[in-house]
Amino acid sequence: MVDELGWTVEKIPDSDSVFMRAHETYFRDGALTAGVFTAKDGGMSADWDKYSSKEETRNRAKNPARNAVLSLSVGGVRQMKGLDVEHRPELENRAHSEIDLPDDREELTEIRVFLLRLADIVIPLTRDPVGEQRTI
Amino acid sequence: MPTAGGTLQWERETPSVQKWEHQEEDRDLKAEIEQARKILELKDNWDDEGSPVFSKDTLDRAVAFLVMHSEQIRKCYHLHLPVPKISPGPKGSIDLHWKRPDWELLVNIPANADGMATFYGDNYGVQKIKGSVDPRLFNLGLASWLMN
Repeated sequence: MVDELGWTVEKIPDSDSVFMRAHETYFRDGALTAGVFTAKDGGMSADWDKYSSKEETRNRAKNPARNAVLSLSVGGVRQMKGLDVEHRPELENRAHSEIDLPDDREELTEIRVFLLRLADIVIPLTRDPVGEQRTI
Repeated sequence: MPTAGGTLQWERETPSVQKWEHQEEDRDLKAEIEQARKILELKDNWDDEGSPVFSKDTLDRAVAFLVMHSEQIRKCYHLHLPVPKISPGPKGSIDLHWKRPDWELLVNIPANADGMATFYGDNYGVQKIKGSVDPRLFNLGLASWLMN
């Protein structure tokens, strides 16, 4: 299948991973918080590691220095009920993918706990937000 | 010094250790609440990805829920509620997150003032707790989990 931008939309294998940014506000005392797992326009954006490095994912942020990068195993995400990772390439980002989170708030609360356990921080915050009073 | 025929008035004492523990707990809880107030300083689009501001009303409801459960557990069961992390949740909501060695619980207080709080917790094994509660009311089920 080819999307309107000309990129082939592919099936992401379970063995692959996706990267996503985590704004510094989602860290407390160096630990990631569950609030980072939130949908924007229906889905939670990520980058398939087949077409993006973790550094490229970070550099797509408006302010990369304020973002860490997480890695999520696609197979791990799919083990959660009803969740999938779909390749949805964009004009300037072939790696773009989305995880559609449930609208049901009880389901979402449970899924956020599991996503927090699944996430690996592959690029930590590079500045000291505590000293600048930026973390919540 | 007691005297014959007089009424002996013993002073009621609070054991110093218990008093100290309460003060410690109060201090930790107050510190967490104070830290959480920084959430209100975030401007619209604070993450450059469109996240909204957090309202004082939402944070106040989260704090009220937390303080109510802490006080009830102390008063009724003489136990101390562990202090959770209070942090930004999705769509202007507030998360209360307890992550303990033996169990974990996430409670989400929505931005909607009439909305129910949702929660999920487990013991990293087969025991789970999940559902919705009115955040204005003390909930014995959640309290039981918090007293694990």
